Amino acid sequence: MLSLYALYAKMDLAWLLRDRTFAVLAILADVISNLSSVTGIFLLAWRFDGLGGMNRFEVLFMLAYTTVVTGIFQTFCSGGNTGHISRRIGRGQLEHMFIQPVSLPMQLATEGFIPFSGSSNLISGAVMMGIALHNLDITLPWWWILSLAGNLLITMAIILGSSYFAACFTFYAPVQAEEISSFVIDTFGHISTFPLSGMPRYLQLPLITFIPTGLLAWFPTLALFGKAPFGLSAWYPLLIAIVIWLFAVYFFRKGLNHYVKKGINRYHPMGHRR
Amino acid sequence: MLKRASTDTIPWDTADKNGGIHVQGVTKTFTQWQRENAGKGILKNLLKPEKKTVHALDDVSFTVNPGEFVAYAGPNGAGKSTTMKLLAGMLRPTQGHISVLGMSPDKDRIRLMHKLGVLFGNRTELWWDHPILQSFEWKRVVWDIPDAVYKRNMEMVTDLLDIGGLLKTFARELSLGQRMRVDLAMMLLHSPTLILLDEPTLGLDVVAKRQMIDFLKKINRENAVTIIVTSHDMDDLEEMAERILMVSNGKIAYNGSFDGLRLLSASYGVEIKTVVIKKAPIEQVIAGLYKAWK
Repeated sequence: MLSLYALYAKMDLAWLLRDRTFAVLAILADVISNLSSVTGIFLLAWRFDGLGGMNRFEVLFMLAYTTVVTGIFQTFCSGGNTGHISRRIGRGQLEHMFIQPVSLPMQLATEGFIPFSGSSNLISGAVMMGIALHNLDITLPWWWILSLAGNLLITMAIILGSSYFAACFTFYAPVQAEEISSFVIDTFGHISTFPLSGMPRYLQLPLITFIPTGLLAWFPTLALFGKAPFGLSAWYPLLIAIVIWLFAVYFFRKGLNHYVKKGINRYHPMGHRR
Repeated sequence: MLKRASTDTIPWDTADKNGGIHVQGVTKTFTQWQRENAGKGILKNLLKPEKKTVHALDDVSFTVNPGEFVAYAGPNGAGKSTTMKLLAGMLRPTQGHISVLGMSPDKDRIRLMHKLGVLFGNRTELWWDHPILQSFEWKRVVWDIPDAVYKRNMEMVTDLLDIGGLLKTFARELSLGQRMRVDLAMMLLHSPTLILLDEPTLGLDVVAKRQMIDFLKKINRENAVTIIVTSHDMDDLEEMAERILMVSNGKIAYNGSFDGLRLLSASYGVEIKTVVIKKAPIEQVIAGLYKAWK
């Protein structure tokens, strides 16, 4: 597994550095895009001295959290559309994976690793998080960092599980559902940047259960500062992550079974994978 | 006449089941959506979608022995690519049994892929935005090829396929002929004992085709690599393979030597000589054979 990670890391670095101008522009474009996606909310929080019961720097921490999550997703799951798996299914590209002497989970876990071209969100998010924590005027115990890491992992699991769960439709409708993973990931990403604290309960509740975008940044931020909403346990998102993964694994296996039985009468070459 | 032709085949039960390919009673069906193009049809389709069952393969049995070079021919939609996908484990048969190198493509996929080479003419396994050497390096790591084997095979394919000048070129920059040669080279890096080639000469010019055919014959002869190749071009197939399996409408219409096929075709008034092949396309030959066979 480590040799595969090393291989894909090397390939990613080689891809990024194939041209100096391209590398500079790619990094710059990523940083500008990352910052602009969260700036609007932060400026609102600054102007009104916080949003929905969260102060400015709690909002900044939440925005940093979602940026870091996006960064982890891009670093580990963006190469070869392994995170946006409906694209690979819908384009009939799983067949390329079947002829490799490596298990599918192993391929999916490693092939998306692009630590150089995909880590700009991770780095900018970490810097934002540092600024937010510095200005929050709170003392955090040493184990808090472990709690943060655990929450980040759970959030990742929710996003990835939702993407794979939605992608199960692609086995049955490859053309129509080819972009469903991207739709789910993008929607989750957009909604997760809004602080839900000021919203009515009838909006908050669905967003931490059926459409769990509230668990991607808002809930973990409050939980990490000891203010988990609705009196729920700070580890409530873990329960949701497990449920989503149980569904995703069950239906993905069923879909895969359908794929090898029926095939997909559609093929797009792998050439445009990035 | 057809009975005589069928004795030209090798019975599956005498084949080395641990070495070659053993396909028995394989059926593969797909469903196709059907719809009339009128308002009534559209409405009807909404309530009860009409589907048609297509038999891509219908109770197909054949055997390929270790070291054989077999041509797998047939018209468009005959079931050639479906067969290749079944043998490579990309699809699962609806019915029947498949054994490739003594393994089930479905159940022993990972073990089988260490010994199997697959090349589809309309696809590439190369990494588009990397030099060819990077794709080869990727193959070495993913297939876990020992350094000595990798080095030996690299030297062999570089020399025989004349790709030394292409190794630093990005895959997206290659011409079709160059890309096919490089794809073939990459497929051989792990020393496969069985190779499945689906339309490998598709779109190649005369020189590129010549290089590919010579190379395939050489590795079959010298390395005893078992090869199954599909193509629409009867000339190419006859030059490469010792035996031909003709598939039509999902059934094996002929299984035997090219001489046997020529005799058989002549007896039905369909010439299959190289010079006449353009006048009598393979579809007609198989149609004639299949009609007689039924």
